[in-house]
Amino acid sequence: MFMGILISSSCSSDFLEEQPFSFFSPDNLYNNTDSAELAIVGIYENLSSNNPSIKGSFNRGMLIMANFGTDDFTASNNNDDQVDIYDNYTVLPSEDYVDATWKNFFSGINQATSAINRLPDSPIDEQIKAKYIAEAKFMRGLFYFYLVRLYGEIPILETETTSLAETNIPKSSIEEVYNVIIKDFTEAESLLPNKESTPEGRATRAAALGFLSKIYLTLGSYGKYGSVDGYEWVDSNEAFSKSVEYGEEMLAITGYPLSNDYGDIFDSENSDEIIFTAEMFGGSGYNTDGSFVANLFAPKNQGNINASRGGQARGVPTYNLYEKYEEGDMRLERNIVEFRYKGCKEFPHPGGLTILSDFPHNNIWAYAGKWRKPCGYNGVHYSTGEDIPLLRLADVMLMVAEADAEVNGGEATARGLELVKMLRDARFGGESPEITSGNFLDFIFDERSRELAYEGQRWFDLVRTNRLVQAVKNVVPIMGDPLGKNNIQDYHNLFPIPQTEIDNNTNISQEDQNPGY
Amino acid sequence: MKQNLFVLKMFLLVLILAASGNTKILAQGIGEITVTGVITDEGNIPIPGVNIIQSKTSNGVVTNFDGKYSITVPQNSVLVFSFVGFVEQRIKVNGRTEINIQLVGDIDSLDEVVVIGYGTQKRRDITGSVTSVKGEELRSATSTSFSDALRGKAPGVMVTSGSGEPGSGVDIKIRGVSSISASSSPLYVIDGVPVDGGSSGPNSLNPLSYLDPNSIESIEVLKDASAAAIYGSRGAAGVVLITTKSSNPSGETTISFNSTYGISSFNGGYDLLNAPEYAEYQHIAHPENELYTNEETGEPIPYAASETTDWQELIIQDAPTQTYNIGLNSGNRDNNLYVGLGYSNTEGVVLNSSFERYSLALNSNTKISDRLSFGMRTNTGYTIRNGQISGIGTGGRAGILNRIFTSRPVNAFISDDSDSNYTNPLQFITLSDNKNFNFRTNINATLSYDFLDNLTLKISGGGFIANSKDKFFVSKEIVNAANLNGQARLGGSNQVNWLNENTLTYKGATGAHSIEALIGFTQQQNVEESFEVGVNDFPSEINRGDAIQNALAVPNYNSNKLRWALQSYLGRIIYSYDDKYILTSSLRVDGSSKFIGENKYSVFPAFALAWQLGDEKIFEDVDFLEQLKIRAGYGKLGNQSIPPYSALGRISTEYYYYGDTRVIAASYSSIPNKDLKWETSETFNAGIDVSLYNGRINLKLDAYVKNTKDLLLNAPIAGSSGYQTIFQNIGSVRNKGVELGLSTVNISTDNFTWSTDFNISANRNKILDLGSQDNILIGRLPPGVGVSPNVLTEGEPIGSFYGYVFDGLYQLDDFNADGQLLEGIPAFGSPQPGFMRFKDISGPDGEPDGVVDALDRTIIGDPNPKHYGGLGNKFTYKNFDLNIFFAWQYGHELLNWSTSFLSGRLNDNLRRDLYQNMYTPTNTDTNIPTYADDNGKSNVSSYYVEDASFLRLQNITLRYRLGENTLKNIGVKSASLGVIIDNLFLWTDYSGLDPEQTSYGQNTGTDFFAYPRPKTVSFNVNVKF
Repeated sequence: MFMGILISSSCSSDFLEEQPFSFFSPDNLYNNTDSAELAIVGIYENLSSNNPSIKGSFNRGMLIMANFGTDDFTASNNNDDQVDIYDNYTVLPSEDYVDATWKNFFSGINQATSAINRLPDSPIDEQIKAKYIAEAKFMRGLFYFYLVRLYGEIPILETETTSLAETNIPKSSIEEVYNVIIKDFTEAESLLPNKESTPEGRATRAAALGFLSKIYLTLGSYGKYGSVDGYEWVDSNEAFSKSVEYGEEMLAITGYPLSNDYGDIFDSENSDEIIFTAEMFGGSGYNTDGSFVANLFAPKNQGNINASRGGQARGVPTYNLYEKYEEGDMRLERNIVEFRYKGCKEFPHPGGLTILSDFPHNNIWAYAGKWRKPCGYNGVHYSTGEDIPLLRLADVMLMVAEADAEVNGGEATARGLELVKMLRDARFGGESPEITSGNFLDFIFDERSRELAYEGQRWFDLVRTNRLVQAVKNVVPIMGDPLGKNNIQDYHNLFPIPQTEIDNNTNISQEDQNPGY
Repeated sequence: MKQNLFVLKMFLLVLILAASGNTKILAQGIGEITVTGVITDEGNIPIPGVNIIQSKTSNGVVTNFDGKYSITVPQNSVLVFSFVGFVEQRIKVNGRTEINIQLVGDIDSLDEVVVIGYGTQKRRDITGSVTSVKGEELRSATSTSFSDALRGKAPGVMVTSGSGEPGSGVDIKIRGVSSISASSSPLYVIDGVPVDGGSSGPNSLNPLSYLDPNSIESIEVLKDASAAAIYGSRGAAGVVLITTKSSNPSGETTISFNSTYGISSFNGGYDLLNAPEYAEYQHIAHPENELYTNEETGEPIPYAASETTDWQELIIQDAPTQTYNIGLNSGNRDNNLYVGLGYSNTEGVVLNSSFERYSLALNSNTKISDRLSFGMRTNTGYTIRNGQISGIGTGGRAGILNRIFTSRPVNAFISDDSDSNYTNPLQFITLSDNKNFNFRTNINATLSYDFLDNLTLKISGGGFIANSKDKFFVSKEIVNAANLNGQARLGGSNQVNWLNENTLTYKGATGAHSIEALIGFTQQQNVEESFEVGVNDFPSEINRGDAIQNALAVPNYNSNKLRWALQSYLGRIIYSYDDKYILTSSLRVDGSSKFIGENKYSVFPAFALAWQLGDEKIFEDVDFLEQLKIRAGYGKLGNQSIPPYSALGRISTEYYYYGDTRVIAASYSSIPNKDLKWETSETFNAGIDVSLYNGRINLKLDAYVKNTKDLLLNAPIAGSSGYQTIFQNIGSVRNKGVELGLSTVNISTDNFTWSTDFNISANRNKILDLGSQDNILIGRLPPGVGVSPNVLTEGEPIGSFYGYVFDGLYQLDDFNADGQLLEGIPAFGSPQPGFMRFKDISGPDGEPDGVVDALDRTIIGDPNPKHYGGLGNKFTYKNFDLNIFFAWQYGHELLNWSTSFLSGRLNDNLRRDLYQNMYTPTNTDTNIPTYADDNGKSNVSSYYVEDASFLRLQNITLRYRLGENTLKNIGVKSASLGVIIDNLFLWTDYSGLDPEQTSYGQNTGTDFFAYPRPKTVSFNVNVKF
């Protein structure tokens, strides 16, 4: 009997091996088209981000980091820790959103790198494979592009991380990071499909061209205005030219008409004006596929915080933004509203725009209306399904106009004026007012505010042109005296490298922290 | 192949031992006589079930119900008479045919047999640190689970419950916490089947609550490594051996009936504001809110017109609790059976909460031949738990107790209909369901074969099957699910855990040497499958969660299958010389599927020595000394209780959406760590056992040091790797402490006895090393705060509280005329007079910087008690028994997070004392912050840390045993009536409801609206036919 047991134990060489049932392994993920598709979708998923943290990416972190602390938008309450520090420029390296956004984007980079390196050996159809590799490169380039602007010098992953030993990657120079970004986008561009054959939210050739235009405009601006060290290698004129080149190439692609209804761009979620989005899905109490956009931006709901139209208005538009709008601009009524909600009813906000004269005061004066939803919208304020546009047609048009003017010594070009007029006519519902006077680049900047308010562009725009510090100092106080103007300094053109990275990465030390932090 | 060689070697070793030992074949036939007699106790009452064994053989019988026996033995043999609770007697037959014996009761019998894992040992001979608790003691309380009843009963065993809710999880820690990411729960072994106690999260079901405490015979707690090392890789947090009742082989059939009926009541509550006061507070604190302020006039909205609704009164109730047990005992020494049937229903003091259990125990033994016997033990339970969770809840707002205490004291709002979605706690309870159904059966069947009289092979097969279902429903009438249009969730899991154990035991003695050797091979596999479906959008809710097909949307569905396996080789030798020097040595080699390659296997050795000093010549004349034993032991133990697949690279899936089209996205969730291995603890234990005056005074003192290294820590890694954490072996922790158990018989006369049991334990926990980490924040506070209240820091105990140091309130004098804070006064946020002020203790350069921010957080308290224990006094007078049991903990602190939520928040009620003493311009001499939501109360600070030392009168039991003569006439063998009072008094300075409960997730010591332990008065009837 005892011998019997001995024999049974000898047959069981697999007995102590782990048998995975409910998850994949990187070794079998790329073996067929179906699972490779999941792998590619997984890269995009880092934009909306259940993984690794709901706080990062466009779920929360980017919405806060790129919108608060600008001259378009400010915290509504002086005691909201989570957003105040971004508004007041008292961000510490240990801060949640600084940390989570870093992790989210690197998670995306690791997954994209895995796909790029593993797909060439995959047995799947060559054409599909080429498209998948192009998408992975597009996404990797995009993640790096956000990271390099937020944090400056960052690590570059040559290969996917497969062991603890590979987790300590030193920082690379900004130039090296842009080399990766440009290489990824240019290699991806020609292999990406067109819009018609692509599901909403997936990379297209137009998106790659648009981002290339943005990348070169960004490079040119940093090179020219010197807001952050490490861009000295940039030939700004050449960069601006390339920005125009890629932008025009994007604009030449059909299928992206301007909308006659500005509000519809944000209500419909599949407007033709949108070139690339971070996809969100709200509507369930216990999943977190939605974003914080209503919580942060949408007008307040009175009483029931979970009601279906409004949000928490943790930030409100600045008076500066209000002032930029001219009469007849349809964007004003979408972007700045003076009501809140009771259930589905609009409910005039006490004070409202009528108290414009007595700034500063201690009351919310108006709300950011852009991200409000039609009544009955299914979602809770901390998980709503508005897709966050990362690239819109209007953005590309304004970028081309700006880059063209930069090439032209700061003066508007005919093409630039044409593009701006085209956009403004649509927004004024016919003939738009003349661009009256002043510096064309300044005008473009105001136009970007009017058009792209609360879409996560303002902070990046202010930084690349070295306008951030002055803009924050110029904010008209709303809730008492904003602390941001006392605190802001040049070093705030970068966020700090997360403390967890410094603590856990043996090749990044305290000395590698961005200056000032 | 290597493994097999190892087994073979062990096997040969035992054969050699067997051959060299005493292999005398049983003598039979020649010169035999039949001996008969009656065995009685000191009161001449016959004792059934006494074991009579011919010494050094397996020949034996048991007395019948009249205490009579009959045994055939050689004329000059020795008979051993033994029965639990009595002193064993050895009598030489010397040719007599009638031997009547009066057994003498033994309060704490040294000859009592104690279960030690893969065998038993006499208490007298035990070398390690083992505490034994009789099932009888666990039944005196009306607890739904044995683990709860164990509180205060065993030194070194700290029992805390997350919640007083019926059937909720209980946290048992033996000799402190030695693990951080891996579980610190002990290994439970139920009738020989090792089961995981599971994480006993406070709101989770106690996985062992299926077991009826009435079916437990005894619980042994193996505390030190020398005792627990036989369980190797799973013994590091201690081992709890649970033995269920087996039949009492008296040859008679008996049926016993036991029933308890009681009423539980809530121990107090909070004094909260009434409707007008509430309206006044909210109007002052939230003037901009139109629920409290008339928008046109700016006047408060008159809630005075509305009647106060006292939710505590409406929802908290006296609740009945009842248990019924029937036990059947049948058979003789060779073939016997025990059947236990039980039903219990415990209702919670919160409306609509209850715990119901159906249980069945079936234990039998069959002697197939002289050498072959078969035994089987099964325990089956079906439990139904109903009730909203207490501390935290779902859908944005906290759980039911939070709702009861913080909900506005008005039933609805009278001003307008804007708030029609508001849900009051009564609606919440009636319009939502949260139920768990759990079926579990534990089986162990053993075939035992005696090759020789002293060489026994045991083969056992068993395991457990557990099946659980969760059902959850929230109506669309409730604000949380309103926009989902009703929500339901159905989940289930199915666990099959099988075990095969094979041991070979040799017992032998020559002269002064005696040896017991054991080798064994065991394997265990666990496969668990689970699923969950979440739905919402119910056009009609008539069927609630019973028909999820009535919902239109299925946003969530998932299933999971996992497996782990263990393969082990074990050996143990207990050698004793002259009954004075006892050496125990054990070795276990464990292989686990959770690790990779070479790291799968590890070796866990242990040694212990005991010296019966009292038996030495020098003590020969010390008459009162019954026993003086000193013990010392060392051993290595492991911990592998991390989730399976932790060492593998895993890619899980998430949803992603193109527009509203859901697609599946692969998400890289972990990197492989092939270096991952066991957490290892090394324990040194030294102890002394003293027994005086025939066992009337028993003292047991233990001191230990337990060093745990290679902690399985889910440690953070650089985020630039694309991952956040990885399970690694990092750091070390030390637990050291002393434990004392003292039992005395203070008075013992014919009619009256008084005995006392006392135990006290002190453990000190210290993190020695955390690798490269300075501070690791752990735990999480409720939504809206999102901070970790506990910290791991080198040199400090695990789970210390971490936060700001409260430094009074900002006073008017701290500000200049413009309302600016004066120079030199540290700012926290944008303070105003009456806001909480915190100490500025650090800054970016490690120096105070004039600003209070995250850098100023520090260690503000310790949730670990300085000492804890229990004190029981037992009195018997004629037919009356009285037991009074106290339990205490001293020197531990709690983070009373409930206070933060009872300090006044928008739309929430608050404590009257806090409201009345709040800082106002006219009431500045106070520490209670002023109105305003942002006054600092949402930050973890020393303001909330309270000393939670307590002494609890945990249990009083008064029992009356009916006289035998009366009963005989009506055919009843014995009967008793009793009154049991649980949790009658509590002495504490703690301001929360219960100083013992912690209720928030995995947080250590956070009290967030825990469900307090109720006071229960119950009546008990026990009849035996």
